Amino acid sequence: MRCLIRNVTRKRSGISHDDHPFDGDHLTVGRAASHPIFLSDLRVALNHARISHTPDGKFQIVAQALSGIRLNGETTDMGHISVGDEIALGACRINVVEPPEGYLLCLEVEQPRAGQESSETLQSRSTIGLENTKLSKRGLAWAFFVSILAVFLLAPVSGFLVEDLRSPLRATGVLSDKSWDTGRVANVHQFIGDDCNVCHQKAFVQVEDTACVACHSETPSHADPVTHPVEQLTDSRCGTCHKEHNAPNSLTRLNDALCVDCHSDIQTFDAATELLNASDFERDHPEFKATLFKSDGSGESVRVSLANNANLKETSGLIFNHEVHLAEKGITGKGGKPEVLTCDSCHALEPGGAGLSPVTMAANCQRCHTLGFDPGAPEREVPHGTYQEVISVLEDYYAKVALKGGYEGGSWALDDGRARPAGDAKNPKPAVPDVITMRRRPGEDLSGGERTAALAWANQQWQHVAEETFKYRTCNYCHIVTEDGDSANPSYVVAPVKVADQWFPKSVFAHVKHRTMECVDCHDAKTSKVSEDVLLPGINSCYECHGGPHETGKLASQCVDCHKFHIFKGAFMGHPSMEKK
Amino acid sequence: MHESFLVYRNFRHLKLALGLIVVSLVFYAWHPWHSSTEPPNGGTWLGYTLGTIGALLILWLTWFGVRKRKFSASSKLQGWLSAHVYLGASLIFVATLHTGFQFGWNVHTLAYVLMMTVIISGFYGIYAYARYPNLMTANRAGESLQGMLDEIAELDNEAIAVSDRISSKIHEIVLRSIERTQVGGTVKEQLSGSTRQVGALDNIERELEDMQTRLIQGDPGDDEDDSGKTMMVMARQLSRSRSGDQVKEVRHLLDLLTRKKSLVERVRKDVQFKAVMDVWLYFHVPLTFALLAALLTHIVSVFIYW
Repeated sequence: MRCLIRNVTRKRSGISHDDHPFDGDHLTVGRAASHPIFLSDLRVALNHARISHTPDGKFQIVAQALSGIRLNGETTDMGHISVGDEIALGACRINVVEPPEGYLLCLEVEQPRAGQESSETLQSRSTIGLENTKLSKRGLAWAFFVSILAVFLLAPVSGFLVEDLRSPLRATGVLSDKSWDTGRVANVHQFIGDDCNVCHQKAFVQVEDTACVACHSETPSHADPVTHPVEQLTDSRCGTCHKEHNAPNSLTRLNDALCVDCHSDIQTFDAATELLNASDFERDHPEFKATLFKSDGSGESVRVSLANNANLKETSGLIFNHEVHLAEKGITGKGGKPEVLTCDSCHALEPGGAGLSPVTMAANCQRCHTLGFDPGAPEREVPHGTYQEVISVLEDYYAKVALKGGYEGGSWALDDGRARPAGDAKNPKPAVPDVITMRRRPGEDLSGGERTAALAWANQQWQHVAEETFKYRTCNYCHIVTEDGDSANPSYVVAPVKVADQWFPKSVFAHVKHRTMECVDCHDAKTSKVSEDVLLPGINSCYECHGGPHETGKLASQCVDCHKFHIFKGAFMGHPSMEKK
Repeated sequence: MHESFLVYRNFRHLKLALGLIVVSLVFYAWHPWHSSTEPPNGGTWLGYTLGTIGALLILWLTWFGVRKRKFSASSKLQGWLSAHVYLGASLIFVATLHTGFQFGWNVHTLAYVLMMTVIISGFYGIYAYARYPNLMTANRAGESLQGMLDEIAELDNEAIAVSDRISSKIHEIVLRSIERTQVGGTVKEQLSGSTRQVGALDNIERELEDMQTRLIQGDPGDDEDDSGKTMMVMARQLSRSRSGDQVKEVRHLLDLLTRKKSLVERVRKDVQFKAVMDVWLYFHVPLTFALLAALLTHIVSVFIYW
């Protein structure tokens, strides 16, 4: 192979070349002077390497010294060389350059003037300091910065801006607004799923009420927006009180401050209001007011403070004595037998447990207070109905008795003072003719005179019994009964019964939550003799267990424990009528 | 007189940071959480306040990285570093209270976790700067790294010269050893203190030690390896002329190589200390930028979905 060895010498005046053509089977390199490429550097072995021409036309270098060679910076024992490669031996460099015409290979040999090992060569082989490794603070910083922005900001924002991208991005999980979710939404809103934009509709705008009332269109407002266009009510967002993404905590903020802001001085907002100020259940709350029917029978209601003893009268139209019914020794019950009654003998929790089921004649009273009218037939009762229904039964009953005959009559065994007073002679008990008492054979006809006498008795008898029933013995026992009509055709009016469904309509109270207590702990029924008594407990009764919102020794109670916000059913939240005028 | 940045101006910045922590804790305790069903969270007025303070602190602390390069007076740098450390640590409280202890698999908690990682890496930095410079000083024993490298080069030159006088084979072995000596290396190599080519040096030394043992015992051995054979030939030659120059040369060479080995180990140790001391910055700085991105996302996202 024909080679050109070009020794390169660098001088201040420039670079000089010294060319030596070589022709032989192979080219050897070493520190021995016999080598065509002779390197004087001590770090070069006597016989260091050999370059040969391979059959496939390439040039191969093989190290013959243990220290090997550095081919293009890599330490190796063998390698192919071509134009552009650099071979380093000790401090010497052999560059493979484009061969001139007539040569197969041209090597530029450069030897340092002083062939000394220096710390630079060690350093050139070594990597000292992390800053010289592949690790790059700047690179890592950019990689983190860009990837976090891309994944957690740009992708979700694209989903928000481009509706078509939302579903595919949400399907990926990470690349969507799911990563923005600050916390679990309330259970009641779980059905919304991962569609944030049901509520979050406009960027950089707090969730608007329109998003809420899209579903909650029937939520009552707090007050009448027409008569009370109070800024605090009309301008507040739903989100002021309802804070989402805090499950399992309540969706509703229960801070008293939300109520007290206005109700500590409610007259500021409505000078004419009848509402009293309240700022703390224990320290600043008025005595409860009961809603009672007015005593004038108009059916209108009036709010009376439980502290106002003079006006605190229930005018229900009923006559009832709790003390007698709750006597510890008992009360005469069905069939004259004594019975001991308790509160729940008559009052039962209604389904749901918030209130008590209404007390009814049929369910609670009639078992003992039977509506019998004839001592000879005590099982027969008049209906607990209207005046007409009652007298129809009496009229029919005595007509039948008269025509049937065999009537034995009788007298009431129990004389409890209900007897007709001696002076009342309006509808005396008629004398019973024989035709009434006489037993008749079946098919036996009455004569005309007998029939007239029998019906005359029946007519007097039912009127007598009606008077007894309404006026003296039965209805008047519990109801206020007044006589109406003339003396010839007397009739009776039973005063309507007006018992409030709710005495405290402006608050909520669940009896079921107070089951651990006795009824009489709050309701002083055992000493109540008249039905005018209002047996509602006052606020002091509550204080035995409940305290203000900051109380620690008692049950800390907040406004919304008893009062609801959405109470005015005449207007709905978020409706146009709620818009500020 | 030298004053540590930790005690800079009688703990001025520690006091400032403690003040910030105490004020944050007092407000947090004072906030009427107990009278509300709304749990502590970043969306309350206190949450926004703590969040704003935290975000501004993060930006200011990041700015330190930029400012640091411009300082010429070390006392000024010390003040900034002192503030950086203490106010950075106070973020643990400010930001944790800002979260209201609400954590989840979201970008908000990501920002928090990144921030905590940055702070913890910073704590490691304080530890590293307190520990490793002393170890490095002790290891260098009054020399500089460059001095040690120069000394290695000198030992190498001498070893080449001595080995050349012994035999070409020994010369080759020594050359190979020198050629393959490296310090430092990849991140893992620098941190662990191991360097790929050290084994070659050890091998050479082992062979020479073997040779010395056999030389004393007069046992030629049955090493089939070429270099071993050469060395055994050498050993025999040396054993025949025990008091000759060559024995001195070999001993000299062994001495040179032993000195070089210990020097290389010290350099390697130096590189390792430096790497272990510096590595925290490769977490601290990139994670800071990760934090900035997460923080930006956190702030923008909570206000997009306000």
